[in-house]
Amino acid sequence: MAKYDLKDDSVVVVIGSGAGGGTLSNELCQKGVNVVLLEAGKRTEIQDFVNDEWASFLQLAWLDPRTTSGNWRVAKDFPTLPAWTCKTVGGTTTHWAGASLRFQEHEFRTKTVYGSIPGANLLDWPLTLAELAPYYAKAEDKMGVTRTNDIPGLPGNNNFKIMEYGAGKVGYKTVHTGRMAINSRERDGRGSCQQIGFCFQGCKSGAKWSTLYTEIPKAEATGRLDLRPESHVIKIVHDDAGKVSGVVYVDASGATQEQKARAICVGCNSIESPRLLLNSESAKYPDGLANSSGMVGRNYMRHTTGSVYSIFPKPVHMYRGTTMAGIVQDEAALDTRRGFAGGYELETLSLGLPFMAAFLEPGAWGREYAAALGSYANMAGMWIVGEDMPQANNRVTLNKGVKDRYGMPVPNVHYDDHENDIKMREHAYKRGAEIHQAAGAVQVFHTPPYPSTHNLGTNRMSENPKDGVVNKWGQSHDIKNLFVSDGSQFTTGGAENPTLTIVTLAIRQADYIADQMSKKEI
Amino acid sequence: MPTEGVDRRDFLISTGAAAGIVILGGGVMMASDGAWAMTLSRLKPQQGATLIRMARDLYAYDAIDDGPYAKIVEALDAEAAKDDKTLALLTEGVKRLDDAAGGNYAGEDEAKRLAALKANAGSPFFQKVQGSMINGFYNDHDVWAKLGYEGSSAEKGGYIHRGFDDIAWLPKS
Ligand SMILES: Cc1cc2nc3c(=O)[nH]c(=O)nc-3n(C[C@H](O)[C@H](O)[C@H](O)COP(=O)(O)OP(=O)(O)OC[C@H]3O[C@@H](n4cnc5c(N)ncnc54)[C@H](O)[C@@H]3O)c2cc1C
Ligand code: SF4
Repeated sequence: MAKYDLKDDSVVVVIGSGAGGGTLSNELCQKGVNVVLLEAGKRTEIQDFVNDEWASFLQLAWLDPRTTSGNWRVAKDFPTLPAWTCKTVGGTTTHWAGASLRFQEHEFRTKTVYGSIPGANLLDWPLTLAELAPYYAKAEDKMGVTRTNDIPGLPGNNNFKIMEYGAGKVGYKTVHTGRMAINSRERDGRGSCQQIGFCFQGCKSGAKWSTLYTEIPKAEATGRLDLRPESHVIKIVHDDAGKVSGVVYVDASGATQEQKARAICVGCNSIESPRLLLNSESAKYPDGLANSSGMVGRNYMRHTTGSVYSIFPKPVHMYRGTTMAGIVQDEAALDTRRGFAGGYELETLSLGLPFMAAFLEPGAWGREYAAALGSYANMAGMWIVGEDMPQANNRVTLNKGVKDRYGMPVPNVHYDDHENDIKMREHAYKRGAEIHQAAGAVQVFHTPPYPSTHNLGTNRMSENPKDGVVNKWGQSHDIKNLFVSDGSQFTTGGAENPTLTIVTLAIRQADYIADQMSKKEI
Repeated sequence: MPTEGVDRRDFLISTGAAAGIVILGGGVMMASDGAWAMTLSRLKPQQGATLIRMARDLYAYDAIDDGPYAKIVEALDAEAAKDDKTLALLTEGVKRLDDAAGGNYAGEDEAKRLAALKANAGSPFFQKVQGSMINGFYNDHDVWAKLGYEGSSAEKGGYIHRGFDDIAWLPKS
């Protein structure tokens, strides 16, 4: 493992070791670039993971204070927990489920295709599917996505069988066990899925791709990666010319350090990334870094989510086996006859009893709710993931009234549901319920959205610097050695789970950064 | 101290479970059939009984005895022992609940108790007990076993050979 000097200004500093930052670091190291990877969380390895929902949440989730506002249900049910993300080496790829879908072609051009939707701040990506396709292919190969690269699909568990049967009865055609970054057979030195059923708690078998035990050790093996866990970046600083020159972070001992850098890549996930840029305000950049457009923190997206849980007359044991290996894709295409723009996927989902109690119907009590939880063994579940509308006022701002342990203002996450989001959710609840009812469900719950697991859009890509924060390489329009490397780059959200696209963009960004460095452009 | 306001002799409180609760001296309460026992350090036994009854009314399972409910109350008491604010929240909350039920919540019939609960729903006290139930009761391995959740599976080799796809009642298509 490399060890670079704090004053070494030839290194590229990557902040955050999740899907974006972890992948980018490895790709850069493979190209011979020296990388300092700063990660706020600890290095917790596979053997430390626990098959226990609350214990794993306390072990890996991001628990620093955050606040909420807006009319979304999460602000009422979980006012201090707007999002479920992780703070650990590997970031949220430790807790993620592995669903890995490419965007559809039209989803890169929503302004053109959907037209003007009141209240929605739609914009076309400065990218096309054709441009990304070769990088998608690299990402799928890297992550070992099933149903790509001749990798077979995962076997269906009980929850999937319910979905498959019901979806068939309802007339859906594209129903399968998903494109999952989970080994259905041994690959890349990792074993195959043991159907443990705790994908959301860190995969104990390592079958599921996570930067923790793929990208990061591979980067370390190059001898070019200096990974510093428990290093929480509080500010990015710049030189007189306005280029970023280093980062200020608090290390494991609580000491404040400053690491110099040639270029800086922010991969802190879509709440912390804009927060860091905003907290890095200076005399030269009074509105925060990279924010001449005023778009840093705006257009926060989280997907139009919700879940359908149903009770069946007989046992299902939905929690056995892969959490999300099951999908119905028929509703993902654009079909405005349904009364809304965009589309949605239906994916199998299960929660253990502890999380089910907290999430099935937050705040509920009494005999009926207890009886529903008492039927836990007979439950099946699915998750709705659909495209939500970017709105300028759905945004991450600094809440200067609340400070974290380092004295930095915490992020406030404001989200109002758009009418389009609500219509889509209602449609999906109905269709999801029909699937379960066709398989014999006797009681159906429309479970409201959980704290956001997909956080997107707060430093969006744009052709025109006035419309967004970064260009099609994730490079800041304002400061050319400052990059954004996570889902906050997304111009719009698509109907698909975002991580495959985050990894794809990171691979592509690494090519660009290496090229710009060799040309001395940065 | 803990026995303040209560006779030292044993007596029985019904909380709806098959076994009643026996209050012993020294803050110790136990099931009349001996299935469980708990010790309260700050709350009074009668307050403990009201809380157990309330916890059960929030999330009632006839097949589960008072033991897992008592664990939640015991944990609340332990928190109250460390923090006066929690103690005040619980003592005042229990009093309001008892008052709303006409003096003795645990001794009333279900309709009266539900009315008293509804009158208190959403209060900080109510949310405190509710939150402890959601996060504690449903995280109790004894409760998992009763409600059909199998818990940790990695050490058993996952479900790959243990029924991840064993659903047999679903028609073939
Ligand atoms: C339960 C769950 C299931 C999911 N399932 C799926 C799925 O099936 N498919 C899918 O596509 N997506 C899924 N996701 C979402 C997926 O995890 C995220 O999209 C992805 O991990 C985001 O990558 P990222 O690089 O943007 O951020 P992250 O992976 O969250 O990484 C960000 C890292 O930055 C670190 N960091 C933040 N701020 C600082 C700072 N100031 N200084 C230093 N370090 C910092 C964090 O500690 C973290 O490690 C799921 C998420 C959850 C929670
Ligand atoms: S079900 Fe498969 S992917 Fe999920 S945690 Fe278990 S082994 Fe890992």
